[in-house]
Amino acid sequence: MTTHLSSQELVGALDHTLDASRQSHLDGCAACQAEVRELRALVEDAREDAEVPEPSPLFWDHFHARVLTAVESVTPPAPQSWWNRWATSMPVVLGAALVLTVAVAGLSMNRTTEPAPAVAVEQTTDTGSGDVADASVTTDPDEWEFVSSVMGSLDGDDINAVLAPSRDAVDAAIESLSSEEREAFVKLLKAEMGQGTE
Amino acid sequence: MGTSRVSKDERSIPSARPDALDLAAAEDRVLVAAFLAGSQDAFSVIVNRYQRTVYQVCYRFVRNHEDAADLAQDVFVRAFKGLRHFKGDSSLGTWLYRVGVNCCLNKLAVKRPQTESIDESQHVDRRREDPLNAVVRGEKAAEVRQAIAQLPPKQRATLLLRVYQELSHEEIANILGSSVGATKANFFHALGNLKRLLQS
Repeated sequence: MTTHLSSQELVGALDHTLDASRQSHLDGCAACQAEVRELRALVEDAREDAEVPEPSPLFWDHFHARVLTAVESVTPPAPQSWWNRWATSMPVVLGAALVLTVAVAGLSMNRTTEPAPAVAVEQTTDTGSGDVADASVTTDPDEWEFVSSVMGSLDGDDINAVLAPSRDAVDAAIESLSSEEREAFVKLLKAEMGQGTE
Repeated sequence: MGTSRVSKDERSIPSARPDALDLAAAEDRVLVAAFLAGSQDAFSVIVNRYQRTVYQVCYRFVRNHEDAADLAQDVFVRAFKGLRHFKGDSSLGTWLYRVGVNCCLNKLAVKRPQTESIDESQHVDRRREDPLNAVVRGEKAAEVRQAIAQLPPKQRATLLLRVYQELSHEEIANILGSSVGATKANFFHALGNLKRLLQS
């Protein structure tokens, strides 16, 4: 003998959405059938009060005008700008682009100062074939110092703010750019998005 | 708000050029995009499209025309302020239901529902109905109305949305911010309480 229908199953029976095994129990169980009949009668009772008095036809025009008047005093949502739409659809790309912009700007500012002697860092890579490939990466100690000082001054919240910026933060950051910087930023974004520059 | 139901892949909000659109015939998602792009006309079309449904939902909660009209206006003002947060995960209709139900539940939380006057309750045209049937029906409807008004808010909302607005349990769960299981349980308990109240 299977168990009687649960409350959710009884509601399912009202909607004819019971699965086959439970429907088969319902078909053979007088107690559950009585419960479903009673619930169905209650729904029918509730429908007795289904009608909503229809307001006069003039009411709708009046109501429509009333709503539009009411929202006139409300600040409308700011229209979405092109960067806002990008921010909505690709916050990660924007975050990455901002990080790149800051890093590039910082590094290029550092380059204008006195050039420092280059340090060669040798990396040895085993290609697996017995040959040894040498890869020399030349870095500027000032650049490393700049990057490490920036990273060192960031806490977890700062990093989160850069990697997942809020729309307001993105707007504010972009608004603060000069027209040349904005143009460079657009080119950078397009390159990131694979569209190339125009 | 059944006409607003759209398939999941249609729910993403496209960019829109309001000047290039016939707004009155536009789909909801296009209207939302146009509104967010700055078109006040798009909002006007949204109001026009949903005012009757929003009013009816509000009326079912408060049972009088004045409060229902005030609440419906409040729903649209909130929608105007909050449409930028509409993600398109559900239809605009479902989202407006959610705003409407929240407004109504807030209203009920601070004020006991005011029921309509006898004149208003007799507003429905029953001239073609047998007079005796009309009286019996009217009395029954009044009893049911009174019983529904005494249900706990979430049970009441679930019952109204299921029985009168004929929304699915999934849609109601979405509107009320609960699970489908909880919605079905609420509906079951609402019917149980309705039975008890009608018998007492």
